[in-house]
Amino acid sequence: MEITVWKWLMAIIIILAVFLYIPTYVAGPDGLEAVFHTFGFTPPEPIWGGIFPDYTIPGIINEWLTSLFAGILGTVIVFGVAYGFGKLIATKKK
Amino acid sequence: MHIPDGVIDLWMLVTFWGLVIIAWAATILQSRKTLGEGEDESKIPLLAIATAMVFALQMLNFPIIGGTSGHLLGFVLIAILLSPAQAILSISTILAIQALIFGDGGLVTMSANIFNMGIITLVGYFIYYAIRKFKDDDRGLYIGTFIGAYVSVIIASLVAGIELGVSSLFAYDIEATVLTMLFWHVFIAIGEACITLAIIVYLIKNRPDLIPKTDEIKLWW
Repeated sequence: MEITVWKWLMAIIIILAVFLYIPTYVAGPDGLEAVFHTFGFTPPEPIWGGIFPDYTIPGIINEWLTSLFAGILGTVIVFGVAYGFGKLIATKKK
Repeated sequence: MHIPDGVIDLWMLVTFWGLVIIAWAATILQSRKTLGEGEDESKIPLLAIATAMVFALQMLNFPIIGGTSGHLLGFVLIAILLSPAQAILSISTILAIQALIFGDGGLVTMSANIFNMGIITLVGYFIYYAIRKFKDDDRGLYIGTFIGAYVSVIIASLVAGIELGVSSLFAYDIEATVLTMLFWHVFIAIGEACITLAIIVYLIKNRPDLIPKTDEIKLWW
């Protein structure tokens, strides 16, 4: 099963670029946040907000661009970590 | 469904860390054998691509009713393409990066999130497994994918609702938390089922080699 890794990664990034445009207009809180809202519960301020809090890149103000770049960066990081992790735990078969 | 820190009691989180570490140890030990396997190629690129794809898809919110939105969990999708054990590792990787880099989901609470979205969701995969074994054709694949993905979200939200109900930091009755969680996720699960099914249908048409045949599907490893 030969997998053209780069083709797939490009496809993922294009899907991100197209579909990230929609939530800016329509998406509200997710299911869990809606539950918090129903009970009038506000979670405490996080001790650690992440390097790119809430999928934004500091300095990029445009909502779509900032989550697009955060998304691309995240996708590449996840790919790299999963690949490296896979290599690390797989035993070589001759 | 990424629970932030300061919502679930510490004793519960410690218990979940115990369970998560046991699950990791078991899956890593077994994956040592299966990941390098195959005729002449490795499954690692597929693992990495599937994980990256689910991360990206988790960023894409789809609207449901009442101004609330949902997004994919992706556990059943990865479990179908690879194996349930590898799906545990894959979802754990995603949740760890989301918490560490994007501040999505708590750090200490990561154990509960991994349990909810990356371990208990096995129930959904087992339903897929049973349906495919019972109905050995494309229809079985489609029905199994749809119902398995649907159930995975329901079970994850049910367990998250129980956690919220039991936790003293979230001071509301367990019936109320479970019912409210389920209420929203009954709808979000439809999105999960449709997206998972769409990807499986796409792959069966274009890359059927990526979908295991009925006699090859894995119960665990």
